Amino acid sequence: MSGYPWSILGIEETREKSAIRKAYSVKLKTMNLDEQVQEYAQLRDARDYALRLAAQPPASPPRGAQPDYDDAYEDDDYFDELEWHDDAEFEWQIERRDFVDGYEGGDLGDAGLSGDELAAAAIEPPELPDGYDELHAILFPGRQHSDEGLTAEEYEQAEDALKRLIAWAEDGDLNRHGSVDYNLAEMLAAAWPRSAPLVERANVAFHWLGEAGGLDERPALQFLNARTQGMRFHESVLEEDHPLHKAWLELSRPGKASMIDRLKINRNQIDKLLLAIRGSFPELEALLSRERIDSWEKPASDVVSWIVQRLFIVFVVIQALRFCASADDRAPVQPPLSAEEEQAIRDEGKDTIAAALFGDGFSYDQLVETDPAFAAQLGTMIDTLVRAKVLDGRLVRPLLRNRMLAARERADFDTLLAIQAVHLEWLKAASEAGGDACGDVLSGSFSGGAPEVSAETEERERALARDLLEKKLLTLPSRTGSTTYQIPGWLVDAARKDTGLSEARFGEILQDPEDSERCGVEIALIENMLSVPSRVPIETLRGL
Amino acid sequence: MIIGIDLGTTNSAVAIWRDGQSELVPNALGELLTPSAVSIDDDGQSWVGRAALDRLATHPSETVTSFKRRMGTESKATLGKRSYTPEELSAIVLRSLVDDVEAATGERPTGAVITVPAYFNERQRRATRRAGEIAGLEVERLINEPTAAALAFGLIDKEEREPFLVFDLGGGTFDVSIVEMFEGIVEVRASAGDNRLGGDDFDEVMVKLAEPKLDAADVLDRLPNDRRAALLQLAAEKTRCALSSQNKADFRIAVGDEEFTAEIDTQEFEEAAEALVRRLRDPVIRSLRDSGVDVESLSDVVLVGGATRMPVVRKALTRMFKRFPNSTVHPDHAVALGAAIQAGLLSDGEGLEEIRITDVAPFTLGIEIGMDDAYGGRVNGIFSPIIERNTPVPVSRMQSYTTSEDGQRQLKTGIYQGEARQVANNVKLGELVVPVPPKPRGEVEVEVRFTYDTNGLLEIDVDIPETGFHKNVVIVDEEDKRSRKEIDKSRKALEKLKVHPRDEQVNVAAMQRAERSYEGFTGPVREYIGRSLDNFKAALEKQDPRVIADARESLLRLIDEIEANPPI
Repeated sequence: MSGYPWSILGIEETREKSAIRKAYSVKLKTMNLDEQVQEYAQLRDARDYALRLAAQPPASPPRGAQPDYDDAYEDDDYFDELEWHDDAEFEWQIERRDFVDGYEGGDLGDAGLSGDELAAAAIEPPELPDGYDELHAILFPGRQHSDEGLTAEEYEQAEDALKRLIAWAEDGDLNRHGSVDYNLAEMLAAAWPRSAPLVERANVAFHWLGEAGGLDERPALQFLNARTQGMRFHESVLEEDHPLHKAWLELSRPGKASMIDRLKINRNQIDKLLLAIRGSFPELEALLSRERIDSWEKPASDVVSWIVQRLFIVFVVIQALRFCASADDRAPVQPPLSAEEEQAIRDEGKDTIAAALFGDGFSYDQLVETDPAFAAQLGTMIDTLVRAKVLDGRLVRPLLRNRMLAARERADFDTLLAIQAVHLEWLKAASEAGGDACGDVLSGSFSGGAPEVSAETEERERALARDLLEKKLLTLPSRTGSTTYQIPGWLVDAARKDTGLSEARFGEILQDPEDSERCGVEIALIENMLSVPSRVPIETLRGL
Repeated sequence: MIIGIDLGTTNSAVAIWRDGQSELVPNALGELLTPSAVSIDDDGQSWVGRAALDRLATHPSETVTSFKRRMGTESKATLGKRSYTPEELSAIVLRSLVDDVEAATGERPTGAVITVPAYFNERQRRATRRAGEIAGLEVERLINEPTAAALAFGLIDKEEREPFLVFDLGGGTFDVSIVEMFEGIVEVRASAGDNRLGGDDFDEVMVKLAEPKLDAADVLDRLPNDRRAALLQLAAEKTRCALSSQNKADFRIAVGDEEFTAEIDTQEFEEAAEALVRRLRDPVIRSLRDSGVDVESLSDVVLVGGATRMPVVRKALTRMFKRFPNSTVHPDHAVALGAAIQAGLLSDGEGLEEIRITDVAPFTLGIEIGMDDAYGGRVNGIFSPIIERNTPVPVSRMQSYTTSEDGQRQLKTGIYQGEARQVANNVKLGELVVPVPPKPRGEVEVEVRFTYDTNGLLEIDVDIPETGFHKNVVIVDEEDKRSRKEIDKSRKALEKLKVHPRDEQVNVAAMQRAERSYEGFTGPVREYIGRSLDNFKAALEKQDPRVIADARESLLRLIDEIEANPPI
């Protein structure tokens, strides 16, 4: 016997297909396949290799050499043919496959073609399908890629050429159909975005979306299918009853978002839309107004608008208080104060509020000294309060708490634990208060006011606030969009035990920030996390 | 005795290996095909096959068909006082097939080879196995329908065959297999399919096409949903079959005393069915690509399944392959005949030389993983294939994975079957939980080996070289955990169903058919059928077998005639 694969088949080297099959059959019938899995695989490989050798022209390969699969697996070359430009903005060079043998099946194994037959097939000029060249000429004006859209006239011609091409394919056998399918996908992908209006028709004819998301989806189709889905999303989001319709309209208007826009449109919807687009259809972002997206996303303006909103609320409260005060006839009329006296009272007021926020004995000047940037943000608010003679620190607390949560982003491990401990108390308090309070804590907006906590916790909160202030962690802008973090399995299990929820339900709640049971789940997660913080990845500590 | 059963969406058949050949066993009505239909009323009286199908028109709420399409799901059908799972309904059909074999041979079979679509996933296969067990059968093997058909085809002339293609379009499922035969080996090179495509879908297209033309919206809207659906479905099937032999056919329904007809011609039906015909192409291309066989080198295209009789399908095939398909095997019989050959092989039946069948895993098998994306984030729910689809089975493949978190103590992942990059779009087969030593991420290597055997059993070995940890898991589906008790419970419940004595079944079926026909016509024709039906009932009272047989025959002849040429 003469080495691989003949030794495994148990025969002398031969070019007889039937002898190879016979040997295979004899060997196979002696095997118990389920117990000889590896031997079976080897036997098959040997047979396939032997059959390939038998199909080759008689230049004998080096004996005993391991199988050289390179020339056999045509598919390996497949990906090389699709070259990506270096500055790849979803473009690629198109390489047309022969329309006769273009079908990807290739001839693995024993296609039964001799070398001569192959040569004969290669000499035949490829049959060019009706409409192909025309379509190519329209999509690549001057043989160049173009970003220009099709004119109405060009579109009509292209549609017509495409229809003829599809008809030609459908009239043909699998090979012809396969080669048109392949080449058309390559051409439309390469000509994108000029080819956009043609994709849907081709998709229907060749059932391209059927391959979407599959393991063996062709690269050209991965590209086109994502865009087809994007175009469909675009169409549906323009319908009035689409849940993100308003957000889409808002983001497509030019110019910056105004205060009123912000009050009218739900921030969540904007985030959801951007997340959906960026995750699935990045090309659609170009259809939106850059400036407006920026204005919704820019953290600085976010903080400003946040403060303005707060101020508005405070203003209403103050007006209400004033109204009550003036309505009270028995209130003694106070003599007007001198400017200095007034200034002194104001300073005192500022100190009162600063102490309410950062602990007894902490003055407003200290605040300015420790973190001037944050003091500037907080100062506007405190100033308004003091001028209105409302010395209630609780009105500023929502802003402070929002910043404290945002500080998780950069806090070190121990600080993180402290923040989370206080965070937990807020959640608990909010959960007791019921209503939207919990959602406010979860989102960090505290738009319904900050939940009241026990005096002891309040003390801890003040100490923490001061600590964070000193570490300059309060000036951070809060991040928009979503953060990703993982929750370790043990933590989920422990929290699930505490809440008594099923695995499926628990997962559901984690997916939906607006779920009514979300609060309880977060409390359980944070509680368990704080019991063994060392087991928790730091991203999770920051994220939760 | 082991029997071979083709448990189809529309029809089922049973065959045995006897005297050196495979033969089909007729049912109590003398027919070789038993419709896969079950009807049960409030009293627990049951009908199977033709009689049940006829009851679909008269008692739609007590009758189900096409339950094979729901195999492997939890969807139940309520008939009479109880709801039945798809496997219980299948078991009722299986039991009647077993009765047929017992009547024909005098021996009650104990084991069976049951066929399933090649593209059935693990869940659907397990449900089929359970159906057999509920029917009191030892399921010796599940074999793929196209493989069975190939066996039957191969045994006709016992020739060597270059790769050929089996195109199996049944009532509810579609399979394509590339098969090669030589030296007593039947080698399946690749299978692909669509387990949601079949003749039923063409019926739906027919209904959509004909309904607006009927001009019966007002009347139809007043009907209960199930009755309306049954009415349209039966009419669609009839029209579709009629279009196989003529260019025009009437879509006809009768509601109460009113009749509605719409004329459908071949061309408009073909246009309406175009989207379905396109879906036939994908699995063909996939199977050819996976097997590495060229269209030109296919030696034959073999048609299996009732829906391949449709001219629209044949036309598409001829265009795809540029040749006329082969119909030497009977498209409705081949699968059961092949199953009986396999049964014969298992019981060392006489007249069979040793034949080895080697098959492939039709789906990719793998686990769920997470991956880092380009922006430093993490994407979860990615499918990592371990055994690629169309790999010859048995097969054993190993892949290495690493941990994804610092200090991770446990690796928990799902086991999936399917072709989608996202696990969410694949079928989940089970879960894998393995303890790992806590280390920084990426430092612990975990080797996962999948072994898939010829019975479709998936075994998983997990090794952690660092700790020497080893775990072996045999994947058991959630539903499979249901104990034998559940299966026994189902079996007992089914045993309580009342079945018509075998010698009466012909009469019961004749009566159901006459009743259905009565409903289907109006005016004098209806009256005429009614009178004949009364005559038949009177004959039954006489209890004289010969009188009854005569009356039955004249009743059926009458209906045959009326239905073949409906008076307008």
